[in-house]
Amino acid sequence: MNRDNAKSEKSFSPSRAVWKTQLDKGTHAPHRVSRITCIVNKLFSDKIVEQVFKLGISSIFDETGRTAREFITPRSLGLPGSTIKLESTPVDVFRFTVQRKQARMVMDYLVRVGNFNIPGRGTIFSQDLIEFTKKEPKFIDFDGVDGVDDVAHDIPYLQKLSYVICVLSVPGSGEKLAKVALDLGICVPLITHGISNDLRDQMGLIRITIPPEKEVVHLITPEQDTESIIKLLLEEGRLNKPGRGFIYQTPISYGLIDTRMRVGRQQYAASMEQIIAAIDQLKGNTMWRKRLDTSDVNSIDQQLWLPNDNCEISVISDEDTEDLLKLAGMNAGATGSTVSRLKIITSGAKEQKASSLVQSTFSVSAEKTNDVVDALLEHSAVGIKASERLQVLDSPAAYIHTF
Amino acid sequence: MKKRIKIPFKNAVGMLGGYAKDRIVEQIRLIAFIIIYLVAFQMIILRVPLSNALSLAGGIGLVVFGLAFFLEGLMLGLMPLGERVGVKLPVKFGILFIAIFGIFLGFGSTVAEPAISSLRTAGAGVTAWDAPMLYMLLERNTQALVYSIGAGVGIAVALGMFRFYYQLSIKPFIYTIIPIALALSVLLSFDETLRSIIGLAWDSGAVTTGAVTVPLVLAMGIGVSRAASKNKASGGGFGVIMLASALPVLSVLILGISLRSTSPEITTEDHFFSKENREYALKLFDDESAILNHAFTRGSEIGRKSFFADDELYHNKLNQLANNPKVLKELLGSMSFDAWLSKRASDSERKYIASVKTEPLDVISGVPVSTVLKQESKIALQAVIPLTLLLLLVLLLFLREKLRYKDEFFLGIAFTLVGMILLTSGIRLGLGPLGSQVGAQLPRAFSKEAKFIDSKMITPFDTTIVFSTIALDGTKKQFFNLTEESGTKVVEFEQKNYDKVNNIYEYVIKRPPLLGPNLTILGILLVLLFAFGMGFGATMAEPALNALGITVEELTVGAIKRSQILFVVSLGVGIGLVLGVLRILYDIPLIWLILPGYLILLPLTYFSEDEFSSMAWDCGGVTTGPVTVPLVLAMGLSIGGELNVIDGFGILGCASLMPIITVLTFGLITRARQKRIVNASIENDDE
Repeated sequence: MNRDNAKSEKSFSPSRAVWKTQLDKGTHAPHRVSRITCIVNKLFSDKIVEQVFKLGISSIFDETGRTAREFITPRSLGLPGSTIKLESTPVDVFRFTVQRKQARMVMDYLVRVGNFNIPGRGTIFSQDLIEFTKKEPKFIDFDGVDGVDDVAHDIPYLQKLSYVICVLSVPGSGEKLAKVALDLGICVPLITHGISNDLRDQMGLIRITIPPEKEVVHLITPEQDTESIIKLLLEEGRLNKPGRGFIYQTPISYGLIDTRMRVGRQQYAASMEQIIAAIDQLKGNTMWRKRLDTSDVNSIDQQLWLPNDNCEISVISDEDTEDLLKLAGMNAGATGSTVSRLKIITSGAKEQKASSLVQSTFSVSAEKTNDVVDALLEHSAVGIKASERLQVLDSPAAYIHTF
Repeated sequence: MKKRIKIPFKNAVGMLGGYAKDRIVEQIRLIAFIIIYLVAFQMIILRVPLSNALSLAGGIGLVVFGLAFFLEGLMLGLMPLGERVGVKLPVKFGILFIAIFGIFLGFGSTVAEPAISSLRTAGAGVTAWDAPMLYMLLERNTQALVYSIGAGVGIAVALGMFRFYYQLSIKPFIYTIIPIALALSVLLSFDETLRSIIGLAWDSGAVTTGAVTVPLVLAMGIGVSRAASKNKASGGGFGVIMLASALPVLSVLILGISLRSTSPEITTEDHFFSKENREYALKLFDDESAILNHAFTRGSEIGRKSFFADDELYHNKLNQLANNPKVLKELLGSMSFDAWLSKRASDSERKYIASVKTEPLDVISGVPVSTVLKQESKIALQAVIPLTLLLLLVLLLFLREKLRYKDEFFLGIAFTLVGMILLTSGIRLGLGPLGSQVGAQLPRAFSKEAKFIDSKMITPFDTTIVFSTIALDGTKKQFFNLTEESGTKVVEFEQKNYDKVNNIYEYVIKRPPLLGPNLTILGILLVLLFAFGMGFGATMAEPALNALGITVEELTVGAIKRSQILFVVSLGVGIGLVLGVLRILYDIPLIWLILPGYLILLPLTYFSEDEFSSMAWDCGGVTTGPVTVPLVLAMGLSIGGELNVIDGFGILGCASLMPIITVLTFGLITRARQKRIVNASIENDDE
């Protein structure tokens, strides 16, 4: 896989193909929406939730995670030098969908109220996708929202970004990859937990020797460096060995990324992250950054790259339908799913006593996408329950090693 | 659906081997500190060799395997079951059903778990005349005590579920229950009779939540919280353990108040055993032989003489004690004759018995391993099976849900049972005796004088073997050579121990003070250091705390590591044990330690985040478990026995209090670090 191929095949979008197919079928109406993701320090979660509800958005999905940063502290006892320790900060990952044409306005508002333009405050980005849900996201009336007049609409969002997701089977490998990301100056890595039982379910009782919990590392990378970064991550995480995990990427339309990767004493007037962030803002993208040279990383088996027109299919459902959906998806051609626990936060007087929700994420090749979507729609309560939804997003690249 | 993957036998063995190795190595890592600490303290500082080293090693091996099996069993079987029930309950039933189920669960788990035996062990030195109320609760109204603690835990679980269901903060519960418990304790401290149960009440709270109940209730709480909560106020599933530790304190105090009128008053030992007081004494005992048993096992010569009121009868009984195994069993129960001679008998009683003893009595040398395993198996089955069946019943019949991964579940239950049997047996055979050996020697550290341990009669004694020595200052002493099994040694000859008439010499074995008569303060510091290290090390190995730590790490997605929780809690327990030992050494009223401690906790709780407060208060409830309690009690009873303190209560209460402070402080420090990121970003903002 290389950039040229990616460029030439950009016109084909599996998610658009799904949209057209499902629209023709007429059973479940797909909506073209933007999913906004906010990765927020827990200290500010309540404020962000309050502001999102002010816009009239009625439900937010919340996943717990942690971000990793390097803390630089002087050595004890007056010894020269400093120590660098990797420390974690608990965060909330809020996701909600809005109409595509309003995504920019919503982002501008949240950037202002959440100060996402300040490094250390969090990350916010938008991804265009196809969503199947009971109701399309409602049109937001910004005139009725306090403070919307003070919102700047010339925020220099970063374009041409990729969202790289690494699902790791070996406990503790998340921190290793997070360190790699910090050392490379990519972004502040987000780590969440997932559960994947696909391989385990086929192994009988010996499965107890393989933990079902997976660490999921989320990175936001410049598009031009994504392939190189993935190669490095594959090598660091030894994901070229069977059963150790997989990586895939999805595109980000635009966003503001947290670049506060290091906290503590700095030697100069400005830290490297501050300089990088300033230049990113001036340029409006990350294209100016030097390309990573990974020509010496040869150990990746080219045959194990999946074709570059995959899809990420996510289903948000009640926990008790998780097994059914997984089975349906795999019968239709998906290799497996990773399940994350979510909470749904709803506004208003509605008493929503939902069971806990889960998000089952499938990485599927283009030719199987429609079948998998059909199977999942058939077995889920999408279109019936307001909390359930199915989202389809293009995934230009994926790497997985199977038995 | 994909076909089942067939793993070749060799690969499967490799996978199982790696899996088992990881778990066992982890437990070895956790328990290594306390073992090395105890052994090093005994051999290097106290300079006493370990006895029955092989048996101890075997017991410790059982503890390691037991912990590995037990924890894995919890993760595979009980906790997923508890979480699934918790997730489904709010969806299908209302709060009333959930609360009733919570009461059954809490009450049942308390009655099933053998926590009460720890309380009775702590009260092994309680005397009926000095602390009649306490004695009554521990020995006479034991069922009432168990049921009141069970009721406290039951209400606590119900309240906990109620809190999750309505997404209430833990803080109002803390600010209500703790001040009431403190106020009641202060009130009771003014009553001479009720004062003695304050330590029992706070220790009851500490021991209730055992190794099986904690993970189960925690998992259920997480499930209910996940299903019912829409915001963060409910604390993610924590807080039930705190309630289950606090409410039994209240229930025991209330029980004490309700039984106040039926309790005899405090009196002297002499008066208690006298015939005039027999009617009142029989309120605390079934019959006169039970009173006599108490006089021998817990009383002194004064009490025994007062019981008989006739010297001839009294001496007859001593004669029977020395020569009749049946009478020995009646009078001493499970206490050995040697232990009675060294701990309870007066000098004159010892001399009398030495003169009338005709032949050595059979010494029961300890319980066989098979008996221990059998007894612990019964306790483990009692602790695990009823709870599991209750949850299964609710899941399958009421919730009408299927059990996921049945084979894993049953394997998990089997692991839990095997683990608990091995763990508790190992503690009885290895860790407990090791702790007792060290604990028994500990008072030497602060004793000013040599203490009587044992005496042996040498008869006939040939005085010609006695030889004299002279010191540089002219002091003369006499010695003789004594040959024993271990070899020949030189023993000081004391004229007062020689009975010329019968030609018997009483060779008295005394335990010398460790640091000499003038270094008692250093000795006390040594004891405190020991207490800290033991508390720290034992807590690191507690299975319930490990389960809580794993849960915290999972819920925070690794932001707070299990190792951090273990360290901070263990630090708190270490500090708490230091306070508990100080209480015994200086006879500090427990309320003087508890009251300031909780007064510090209340503002700390106010400034902490809700989620962290719930977790911190739960940490206090899980610390005292099957590993810590026997070690702590061995140490406490030994020190208390040396100082003739009435009871060993209060140590466990202190050991539960301090971890809450350390964890809340850790939480505040962690939040300050998070704020540092944010504040640093504000300072560097170029707007």
